[in-house]
Amino acid sequence: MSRQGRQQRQAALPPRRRTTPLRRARGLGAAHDGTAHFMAQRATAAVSFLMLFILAIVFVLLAGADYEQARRIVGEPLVATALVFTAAAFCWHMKLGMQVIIEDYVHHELLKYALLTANVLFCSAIFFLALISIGRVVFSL
Amino acid sequence: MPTQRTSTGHEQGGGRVLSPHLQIYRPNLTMAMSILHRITGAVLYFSTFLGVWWLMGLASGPKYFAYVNGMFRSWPALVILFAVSYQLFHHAFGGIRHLVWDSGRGFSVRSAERLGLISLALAIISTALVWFLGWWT
Repeated sequence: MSRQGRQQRQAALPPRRRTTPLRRARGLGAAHDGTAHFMAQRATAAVSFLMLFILAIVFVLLAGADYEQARRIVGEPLVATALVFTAAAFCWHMKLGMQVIIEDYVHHELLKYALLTANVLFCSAIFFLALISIGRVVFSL
Repeated sequence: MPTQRTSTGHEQGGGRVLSPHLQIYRPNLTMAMSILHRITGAVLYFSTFLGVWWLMGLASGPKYFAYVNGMFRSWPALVILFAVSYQLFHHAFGGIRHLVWDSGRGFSVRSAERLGLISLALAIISTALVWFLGWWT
């Protein structure tokens, strides 16, 4: 089709269906996705790295604590917020990471999508369990 | 000579040259670190349940907490926790190495090897420091 013909055909389409070659190529990579996954993996990695040091400090504080002391430490607003934040960063990051592993090694379409779904469910469950548990400690003090 | 295709689609007997496969390379540090990064990531993925289990124990009341905390203080559990904590630091510092590479730096063989050694050393030191402080306090 000539350039002019293509332009005329595009102009006749409703605005949403007027596509450029780049728009058509987007999403055609191996993961049917753009750079969003890559960027999110790096961003959550950087946040997780920072949170790891707060987690290490909390771990050291909790090392010798009994039940009451542990509840008081975890229930501290700053600590509780840091822990929920850490859980969010870790869970998001591990969802992205396990997704790459599944996409790399599992080639059976149905099994792949089943595992990708299980991945999201597992990571969500871990996050919500952490959130609810920390919340219960915070709000019961 | 007729060409035959294997299940992976490679032509055999057609005179095609295959690209070198993994087993021809001498194992090296960057290779090991790359494989370990993925393995530690996968192990940490499932290890998050340990942390969440402990938090669930803390939220469930003194009786269940005593059970969970007792489990965590047994020797086998401490060995597992130690291994998990090392993997956490290994993956974290190994990840920083990847962020350095993402910025377009550190690709020469020398820098890549050095980055691997540094991240390995930092992971060992951090793990030792955390357990020393945890034990001591």
